[in-house]
Amino acid sequence: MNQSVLTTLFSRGAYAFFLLCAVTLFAQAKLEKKQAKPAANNATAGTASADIADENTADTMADLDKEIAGSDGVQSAQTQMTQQGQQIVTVDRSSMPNILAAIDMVADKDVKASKTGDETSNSMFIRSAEFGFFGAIDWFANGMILFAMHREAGGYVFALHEASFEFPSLPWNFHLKIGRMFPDAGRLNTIHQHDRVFTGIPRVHGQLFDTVIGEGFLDTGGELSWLAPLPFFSEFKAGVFNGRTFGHTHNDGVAKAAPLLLGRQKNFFPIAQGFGLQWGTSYLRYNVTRDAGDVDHKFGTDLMLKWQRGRWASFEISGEFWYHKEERVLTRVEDKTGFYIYLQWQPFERWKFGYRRDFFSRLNLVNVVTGTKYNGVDHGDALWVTYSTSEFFNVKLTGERHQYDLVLGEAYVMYAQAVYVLGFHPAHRF
Amino acid sequence: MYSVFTLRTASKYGQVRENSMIKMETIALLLLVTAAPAFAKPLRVITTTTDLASIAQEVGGDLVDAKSLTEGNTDLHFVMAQPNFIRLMNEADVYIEIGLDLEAGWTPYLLQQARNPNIQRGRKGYCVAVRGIKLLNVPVGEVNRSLGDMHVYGNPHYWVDPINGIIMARNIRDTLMANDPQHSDEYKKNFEAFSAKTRKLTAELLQLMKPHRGKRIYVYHQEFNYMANRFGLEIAGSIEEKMGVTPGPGWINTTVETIKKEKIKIVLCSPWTNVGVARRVAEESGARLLIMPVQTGTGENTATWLKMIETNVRLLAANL
Repeated sequence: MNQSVLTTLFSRGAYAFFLLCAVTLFAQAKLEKKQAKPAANNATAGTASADIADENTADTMADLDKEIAGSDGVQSAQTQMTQQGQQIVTVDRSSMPNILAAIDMVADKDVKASKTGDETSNSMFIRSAEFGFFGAIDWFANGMILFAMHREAGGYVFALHEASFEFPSLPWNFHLKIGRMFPDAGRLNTIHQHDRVFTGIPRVHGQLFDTVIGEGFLDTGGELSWLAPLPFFSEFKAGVFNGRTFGHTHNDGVAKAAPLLLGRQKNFFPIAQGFGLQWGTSYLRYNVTRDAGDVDHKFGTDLMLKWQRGRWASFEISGEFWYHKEERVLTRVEDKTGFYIYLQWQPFERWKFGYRRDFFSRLNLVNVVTGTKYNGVDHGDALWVTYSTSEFFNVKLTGERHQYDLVLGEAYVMYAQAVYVLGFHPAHRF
Repeated sequence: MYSVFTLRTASKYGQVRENSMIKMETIALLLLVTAAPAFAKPLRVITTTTDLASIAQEVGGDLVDAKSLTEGNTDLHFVMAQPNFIRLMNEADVYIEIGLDLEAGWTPYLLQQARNPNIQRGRKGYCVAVRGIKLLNVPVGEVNRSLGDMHVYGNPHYWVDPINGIIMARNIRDTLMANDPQHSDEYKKNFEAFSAKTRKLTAELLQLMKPHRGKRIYVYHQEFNYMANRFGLEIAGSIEEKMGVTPGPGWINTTVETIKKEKIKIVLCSPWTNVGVARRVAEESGARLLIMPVQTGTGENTATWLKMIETNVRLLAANL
């Protein structure tokens, strides 16, 4: 297919999609208001029961008293009383951790490859398979361990993904998490690939956090967060990590002059029940070599606007913007910036439609022939449709257009993805 | 202690000044002590549902400020874990939930992030309202997700039975007393008043429903079982083939045929379920669809839990 025709189709499709989303969302809101009125019954409510026989009421009252008294001290399946009169949950699984297995299966295909070759593997494969355990360690701490297998460089690599413990009951509004984890930088880094709303990797995330598989950067250290005593949700977080490596690696890296430092602040503003806006900012600082002067800084801001009506309908707009600044002792610096923004709309219980826009730019490139400075700009679009039978199974079909800077040109790819979860899955964050 | 110290150090001239100061301070202290209850902060109670908040407010009276995380007409199985809930739970003295895994998809994360040791499971500020309630639909044999969204401990929609409301109130009373022992008598008194009011209404409603005992109804979701059980109705079946799963066309047709064949007159659903499917079944089978506001604050005449119960039962009685 002609390249310009494809570009036009994508851009027009995206505008049409936005318009359709807006119209249907309004219609949905109206319908919801209508449905929320039980008074709209085609039936009529009864009048006061003044004619009830009082002699029967006395007997009934006595029976009810007996029943209520009989329930005192009776324990339901889920609960029992401690000696102090407090209630604790003692389910049959009290000493068993929750078990998770999540499989992310992808088939990818180049519709039109870029100038340097294939964009995808043109095959079907298990992109990741994770299994892990979550639960209370004791009365004071919770813990988790997660193993994952990823396809990398033509083979499968099995590794310890995350292992951490946290204290949910610290005083003064603190919360501490220690171990190996995806640090809380921006939105996407903490969301595993199988949990993301799209299949492909936003260009800015792939380039700045994980150039190997696009999942995110992992490290070992700790995060301390503090909930501010304000009328709205406002959380401050500081993290210190090894910083021996950055990105997706399977080695221990090398000792650096300073650890990786993380700062994050996020706020949430509720708009209505099931509707709110979260806004966050993040900062990362780490050494890229043993030289203390070789430092990378990353400044980011992220946003999530989400509306949800139970399992029936939802709408979300989210995105991240990052600016990457380099300090180098000997080599040339290459600052970068980029963003992605997406919207996803769920008009029916099982169907979701989404669109994502990517932008990424290298800010210090120089044309070696002319000696002039130019910005290497990549951008792209993705359209997808998701069908879910439940929150534990979904299939997704995605079409993506990648427009790279002058050298690589344009590429079109298709993805088919199936994600299924066996056992437990932790609750999704906002 | 203050007055003893000042008297000991006073000179003759100073004695008068000191004495008048002591008097003023004593009056101020007395005023403070007597006014203290007026400025005392009510116990902050956070609940997962509007029904729990309504009952907690009845039992706590002016001594508590009960707020629900969700509004009426909410699918409690699927609630978005909004960060502002974390803030509310962070400040709570008492946290009350329905239990039986109804809130399993959203409250564990919120509790973990609340940074409030007092409301964690097992602590004195945590209350699960189900204790003492006789559970229905407890699954037998192997249970897995092929059966739909199964609640392995039993049906969690127990608050639609008025007598269960009294048991819930009793659990709430115990938790309030544990957290605010100096007002135990008030909580006991409020509970007794609430219990008496609820029992009286239940007895009335039982009489009202007496002529309808044994009648068969169809439901969309298995959330009316406790109410049906209390008032002697029989649930002939549900439009959902599997719990929490929207039925396909084949099952809808089967349901329509069953309702026609068994001459069932009423189909019940709540506003948060798939009303469109329930309406279609009712229309095709010739049954009457009743959209029941089964959560406090869902529509007209549901401002309190007790009012919601009365509205639902009277609606049912008028249409059976």
